[in-house]
Amino acid sequence: MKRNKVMLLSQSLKRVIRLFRKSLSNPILACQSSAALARGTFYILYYKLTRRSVKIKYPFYAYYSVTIRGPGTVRIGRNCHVYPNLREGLRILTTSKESQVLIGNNCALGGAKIRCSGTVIIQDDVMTANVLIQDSWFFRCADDQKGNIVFVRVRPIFIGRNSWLSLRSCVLGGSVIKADSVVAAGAVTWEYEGKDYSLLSGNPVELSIPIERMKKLLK
Amino acid sequence: MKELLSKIKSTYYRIRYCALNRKIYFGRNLKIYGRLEIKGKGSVRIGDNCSITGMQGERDETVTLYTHSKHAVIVIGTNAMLCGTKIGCMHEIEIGNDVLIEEASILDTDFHSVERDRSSVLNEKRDHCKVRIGNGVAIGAKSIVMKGVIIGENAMVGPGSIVCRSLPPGCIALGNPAKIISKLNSSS
Repeated sequence: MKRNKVMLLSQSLKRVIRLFRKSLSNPILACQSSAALARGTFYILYYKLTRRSVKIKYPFYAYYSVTIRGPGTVRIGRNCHVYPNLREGLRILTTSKESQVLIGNNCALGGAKIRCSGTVIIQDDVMTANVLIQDSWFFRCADDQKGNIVFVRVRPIFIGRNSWLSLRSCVLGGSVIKADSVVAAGAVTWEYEGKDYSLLSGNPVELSIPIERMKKLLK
Repeated sequence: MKELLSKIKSTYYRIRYCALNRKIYFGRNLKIYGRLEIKGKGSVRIGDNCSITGMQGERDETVTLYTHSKHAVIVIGTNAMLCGTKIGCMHEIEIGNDVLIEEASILDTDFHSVERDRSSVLNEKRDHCKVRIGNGVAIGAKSIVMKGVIIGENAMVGPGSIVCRSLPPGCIALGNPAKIISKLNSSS
């Protein structure tokens, strides 16, 4: 136990030294990242004071605005970054108390819109561009009359670890994106279960191509 | 609190747009939670009990109703709900009652010709370019409705889809171009 703690301390010291050296070589970037860290800590404190259901872990780097609205639970893991993407930051909207958004560690969430009335699970190391993640067809009438119809009802979303959601893609209810996979630009996934390490493309997505096979074809 | 703010906003917009311009008409009991922007010389008519909102927490919460010519007509029925919708009209756009439109954009022109100088629109007739959206239609976010499209009653268009051909009543469509996935039963 003690040895483990010593190891952790030495690792963190090494990281600090590495960061210091980096900042000496590129001072502007260091200033930017430290400002982002300060902004992130401000967001952590702000949401701790105003909303009990929102929990963001330290460190949180916010290079752009983060807005979280609604009564649902939101969890964001360690070491997440919010970059500006098409002049938009991270926006999370929840409708009811049961709805929950769970985001893992080391995510880069630039310009993601998350509109949730059920559950949205995003695992570690996920990278997003300006995307829409919405677990029902029509957000405004999720609890309304049209919500009873099969096509419009709320379904959970699962996004596996180390996956990449590309520009202007939509992830709708019932879609399962497995680990290491890529969603192509402009693709819309709805009630679709992909395979591991594959490319999902098309509007709506109908087939997932394994990336290893694609590499062979390109050669 | 929210209702009071919406009432203040709606009276403000009524004074701003309807007082000077006779071509713009707002119905009774209009609720405005977001922002509304009307531009151009055409006529705009919004029915009773409509609500104009924007998605919460979004930077751009405005509903825009632009008319690009004198003869342009935008008609919105009763009980309609617009959330961050963008409408650009040259000829005529007709939206029915009990409609839900989220962050979609509706256009009834191409704005430019395919000639090299891109000057003015060629061969656009009013009857061909008219957009009509029936009663009880729901249109999802990020979708686009192109010119000359007629969407039937109670149809649903999913998010991210692009509608360039007209859809029959009671159908469910998704994709680019929007394809009919299935039809609603008349009983439900």
